Amino acid sequence: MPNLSHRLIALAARLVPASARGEFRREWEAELAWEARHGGASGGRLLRRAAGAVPDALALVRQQWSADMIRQDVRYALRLLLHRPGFTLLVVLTLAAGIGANTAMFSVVDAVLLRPLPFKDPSRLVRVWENDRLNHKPRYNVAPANFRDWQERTHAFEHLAAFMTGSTEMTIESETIHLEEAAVTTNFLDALGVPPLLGRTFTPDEKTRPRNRVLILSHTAWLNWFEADPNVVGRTVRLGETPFRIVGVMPRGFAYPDREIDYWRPLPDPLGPDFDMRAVHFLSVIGRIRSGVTIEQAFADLETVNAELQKQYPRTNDQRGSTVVPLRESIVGDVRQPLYVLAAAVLLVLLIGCGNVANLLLVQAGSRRRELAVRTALGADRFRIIRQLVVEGLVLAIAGGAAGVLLAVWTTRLLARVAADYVPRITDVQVDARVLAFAVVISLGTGLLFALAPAWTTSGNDVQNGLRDGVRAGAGRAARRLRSTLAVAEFAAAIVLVIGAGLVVRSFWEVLRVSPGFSVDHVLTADTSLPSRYDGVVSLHQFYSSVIDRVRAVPGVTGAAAVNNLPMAGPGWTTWLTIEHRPPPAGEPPEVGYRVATPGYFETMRIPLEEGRGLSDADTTESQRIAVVNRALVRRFFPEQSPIGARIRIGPNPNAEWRTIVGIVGDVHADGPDTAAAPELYVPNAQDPAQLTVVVRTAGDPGALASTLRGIVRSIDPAVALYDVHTLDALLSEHLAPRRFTMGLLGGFAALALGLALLGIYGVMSYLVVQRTREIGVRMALGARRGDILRMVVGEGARLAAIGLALGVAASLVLTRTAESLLFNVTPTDPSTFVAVCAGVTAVALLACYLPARRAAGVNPLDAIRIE
Amino acid sequence: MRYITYPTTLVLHAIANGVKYGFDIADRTGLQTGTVYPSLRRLESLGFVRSRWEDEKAAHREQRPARRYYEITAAGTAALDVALQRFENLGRLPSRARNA
Repeated sequence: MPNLSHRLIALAARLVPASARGEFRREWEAELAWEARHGGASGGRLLRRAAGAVPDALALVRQQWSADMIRQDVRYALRLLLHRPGFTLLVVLTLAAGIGANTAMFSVVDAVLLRPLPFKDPSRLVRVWENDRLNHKPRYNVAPANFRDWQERTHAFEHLAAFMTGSTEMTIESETIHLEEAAVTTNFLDALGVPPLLGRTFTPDEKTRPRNRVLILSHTAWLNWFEADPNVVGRTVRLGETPFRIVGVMPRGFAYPDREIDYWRPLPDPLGPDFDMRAVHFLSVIGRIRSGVTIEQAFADLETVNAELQKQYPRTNDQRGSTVVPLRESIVGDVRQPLYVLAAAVLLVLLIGCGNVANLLLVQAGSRRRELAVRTALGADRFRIIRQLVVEGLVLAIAGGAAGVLLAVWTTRLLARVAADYVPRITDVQVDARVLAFAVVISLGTGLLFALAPAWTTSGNDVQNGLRDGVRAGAGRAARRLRSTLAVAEFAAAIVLVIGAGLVVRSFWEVLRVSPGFSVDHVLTADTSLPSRYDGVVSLHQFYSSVIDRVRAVPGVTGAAAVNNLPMAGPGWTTWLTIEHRPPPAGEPPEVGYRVATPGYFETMRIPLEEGRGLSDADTTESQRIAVVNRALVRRFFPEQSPIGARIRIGPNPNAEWRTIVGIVGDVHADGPDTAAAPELYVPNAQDPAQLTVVVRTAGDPGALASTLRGIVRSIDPAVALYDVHTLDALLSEHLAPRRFTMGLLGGFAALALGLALLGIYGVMSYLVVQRTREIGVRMALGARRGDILRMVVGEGARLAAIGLALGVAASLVLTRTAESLLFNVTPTDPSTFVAVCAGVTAVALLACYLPARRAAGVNPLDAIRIE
Repeated sequence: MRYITYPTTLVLHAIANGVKYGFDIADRTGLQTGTVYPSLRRLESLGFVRSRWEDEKAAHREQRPARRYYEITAAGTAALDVALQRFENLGRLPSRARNA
């Protein structure tokens, strides 16, 4: 027992800071000896007494970390850092860039992916689609009759609600504005569970005409168009010609299905005759699952109903199932991977930054070796020195973190503005308490990470060597090895990023190389919205003909036409295709893209006519019904014969007139150059009425024509609204913006990473040269030539670079796969990108080694030997 | 004025009454050594007590190592007055402290 007591005290003593350890042990041993001698104590009693040594040791440790001493350390660290403003600034800026980029990226990931949707019980909300297994389209809009049957026959849902989006002209008093609308089932807002700010949501009876002439404003529309009028509920506005009463205003931040929506209005009853159909699919559907029901059970419930419908309606519902996806997934699913890739990239940048800072601190620690040795000789223990170095690291990290947060605030604002159109929910991004907490954790973590390594190697030096070597010798072999390891690791990480960015840049270039199938430069486009009195083929045709004729007469205009749906302007129209003399397929007929255009459309867009003829003024309601098809349609439906002269029928009506195919045009990548061209057909607007988008090709700047176009439309009919006026160039650019955004960010991060890594290699080599100045002098005195010295130093650097390169390439081969969805026409292990990046990066790495090597080779042997 | 806790007050009170050594203080106050020693460290860091080592020779005569003893300082005396007053007001001062 007495032995046990002594062992316990020895154990507790190991916890005690070295400066107090001797006295601690002496005191406890003396007390125990006294107790044993005078108290006649039993072994148990002695052990109980000795147990107090552990709390005592902990109290001494706590005292070592007392606020006063920490304050003293911080003061000392600050003084030291202010003494070396260049070093401090470099470190703080490096950290600010790393921490700022990470904090900004975290705010974006938090806003977009992590924060729950702003609806009641968002985990119970799902998006529901039809799953067209026949045509491999798992996310297909829902036919109204199917929706009705789902609503009536399923049990798993508290609400199933449908919506459609569109745009209209709203007249408020005498002013007409163009607004985006969502026509929704009356339970839509209840399904989302968000109460209105003002007024009420829709009542079930508002699905029937004329009671459905009510609408609820979005917060933004209420601010922008009604000056936040608190008495707006009850006011009447006109949508087209029809008066609608405002019954509510939704709160700020409520934006479903998207942030563009200005108002919601009841969708006319899907039970009504207009909607009793299964062949057309245009409803988007959301559901609120009943509490306690899983998403799998809800899916199974829908599939049971689908099986019944397949039996009941084999012609339209053959192989039609459902797809159910959590609502959050449906909103942010597409951006998840790019965001995670970017987040991983900034984390790498931060780690590289930490590596650099650690390297800088190692240099500093090396040059402070004598100071630390003096302190050790004067009684500071290792723990005390580590603490001082850690405090210095933390002070730097906190300064870097503070600057980083400022940078993050500014960057997130910029990101939210730049990416608002293609990253859902990013407008909600803000630097809030969570983000600040993240920044604090990451700053402190960073501080510890880069301060610990130098602290460990430095504090381990023996005092005698430290005092003797002083400044010149640096921090010894361990530190040198650590610095080289850090430089290699940084370089490897930078290579991963540069290769990743290289692949994304290469993909972007591949996208740009794909011809969209038409010429985008020098084209102005403008959407038109016509009052409801234009309701027939003749009036619509006449209106567009006169606009186009007048535009064509404008000097500088080389072509003008109109089309119902421009390429790259969102999802286009589709129709069913039935080919004469061919047996109809099981289930629904195949679906193809469908465009209504005026004569001159192909010429204006420069879509090549490959066979037959295009659309002409001779195609009218009186003449033969015709269609022009694209090459993709020919490939799919007429692989072995020319389709010219073949007859087709479009749409669901089995009695519709046959149309004759009169021409074949080139493929257009309607959803952008990075998607495949789909089968499409074109019909003349004289035979099929539609509201169209005007396209004008000019010899000069197309933007300059906008006001002329407005003037022409106004002079023909002032009631026609012209909106979304932009150039085709801008449309393409907008389409490529998400790619450009990812590419820009990743490229920026990669450049930053590479710069930091090169700085790391340069630092290591420069330091090496300084350390070996004497050795180099001796070598030169003994006959080594300049070239030998250059080779020696560059060779050393090249060895580090080669190891980093090998590690980086190996890591890239694995990691680039995770970014596959960001690539286009490029494999994740694209050899040309790998080779190009390796060659380029090696070249700059060698340059980073060459500069210190040249300095080494310029050393005067006599001066070098004299250094001591 | 820094406040000290109730057990620390008991320890200081014992020292003020001439109990000098760690284990003796534990015996007098009835506190565990794991409470007495951290209190002593705190009192010392506050400057309320100071410690010395007893004469080596005396200890040697008894064939045991020298013990460390604690004495109250002027600041400690003032602090003890305040603490005793405070705990008295709270009705918490036990008879042991009063009588010690």
